Amino acid sequence: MSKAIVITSGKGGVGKTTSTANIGTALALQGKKVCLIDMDIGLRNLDVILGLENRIIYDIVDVVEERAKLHQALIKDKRFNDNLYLLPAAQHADKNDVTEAQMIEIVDSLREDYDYILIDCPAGIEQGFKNSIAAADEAILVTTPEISAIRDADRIIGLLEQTEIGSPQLLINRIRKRMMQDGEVMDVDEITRHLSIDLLGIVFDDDDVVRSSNNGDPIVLNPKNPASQGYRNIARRMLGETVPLMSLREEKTSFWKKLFGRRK
Amino acid sequence: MDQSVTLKGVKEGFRLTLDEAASYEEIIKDTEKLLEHLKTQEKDSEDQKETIQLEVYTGDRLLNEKQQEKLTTLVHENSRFRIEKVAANVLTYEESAAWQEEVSLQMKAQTIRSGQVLTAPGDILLVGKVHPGGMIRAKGSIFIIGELHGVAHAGLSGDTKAVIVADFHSKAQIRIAENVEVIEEMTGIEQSNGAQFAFVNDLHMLNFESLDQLKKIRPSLEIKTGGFN
Repeated sequence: MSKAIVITSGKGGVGKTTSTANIGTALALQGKKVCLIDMDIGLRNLDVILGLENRIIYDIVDVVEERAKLHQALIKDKRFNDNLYLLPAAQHADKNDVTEAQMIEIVDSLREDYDYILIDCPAGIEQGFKNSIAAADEAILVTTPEISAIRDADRIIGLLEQTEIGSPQLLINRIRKRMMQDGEVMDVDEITRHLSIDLLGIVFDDDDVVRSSNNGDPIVLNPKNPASQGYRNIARRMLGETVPLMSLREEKTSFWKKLFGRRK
Repeated sequence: MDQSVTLKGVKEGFRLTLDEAASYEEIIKDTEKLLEHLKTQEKDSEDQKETIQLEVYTGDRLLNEKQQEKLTTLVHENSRFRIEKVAANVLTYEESAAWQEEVSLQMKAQTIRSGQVLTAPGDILLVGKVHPGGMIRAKGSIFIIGELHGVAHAGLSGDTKAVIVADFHSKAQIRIAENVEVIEEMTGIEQSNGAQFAFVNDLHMLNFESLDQLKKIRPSLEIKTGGFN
């Protein structure tokens, strides 16, 4: 059964696109067929993070306006043997150029060929958001431990609960271990309890995420990186495995613990 | 009888020449007369169903849309002629300006940023950069002095003779007519210094060559630019 999952946040800059790229890549590495859809029409980024920017010939607006067939617009990521595809957003168009009905049509025609369809939602709650959630079965809500991101996340949960999607799953991104340990920001439990939705996973803040994205490589490709492990764990949980949460404690001790925890 | 319209047989069918010195009313009247005359002549002949191509030549006069429509309906309703085209000796200012643009080289000095599209009706010379996500396109050829990181699309309406001259040393995408080439950094192209040009070769494939080959491969390029010819 194919699943369409929207990755959303409300607030900008919390890592929706990075999360979409990395979860998609992690699922593809697990052998699933994944199609990523960039819905941030006018401010596309997903192609850049995947290093596919200069391969774009047709985009989602070309598909909608019937200048191209859907399969022509899909870009194959050659690194993952036919497992990862991207439907890029248009850059010189805007969010109103696609309607909810058209979005549903696109996603439905992708369902046959893909196990997972991940939709990268733009920031905000306007048309772009509505289009993104229109075709989704489930949602992943990305937030950071900042109070402003959590506020926006709360608003999004409210909006999602009014739709057929229901409660999203929570991904807490860019956790700075020291700040969370010192109680300077809300910790994982507090955030989860405050938003009262299921926690899908946590991802630590890491400079390599940016470094790697800049080169067009999702961080997931580097198995040793802590942020990468966070995304890999999320992918495994999505596939039904039970994976313990990563520890917040200082890196050296936690590293060995993680190794042990996994091997048991 | 000095008529304002003359019907003549030409290679493709018939040509109706309108005298530019006559008034429009006169022309319509004379056309009516002419068609009436033809009708009476044709009554005896058998193959009356076939249509005949007709070209209307208006000389140094331009018919406006209404005038042209009236003439067309008049001819179509009263004869077997079908007007294929209406030609004139002259152009409107707009048409000539558009044509002028199509055949001449336009110059722009600007940066094309992500999401921006610069379209030229003919050839274009860009002095500046095309950023990633930006696009420059032209019905004719594209010449870039600066950096190309985005998309350059020459021969927008299918002209495979168009070329793109640029420094192809960074990630970019090149399109000429229907052909597309993705340029990865420093791959695919021989590492030469400076600009090269892209063209569609005899095998309908996009190819890159050094600039000294340009004149050999596209000799028409030089004559094409500038003014009426």
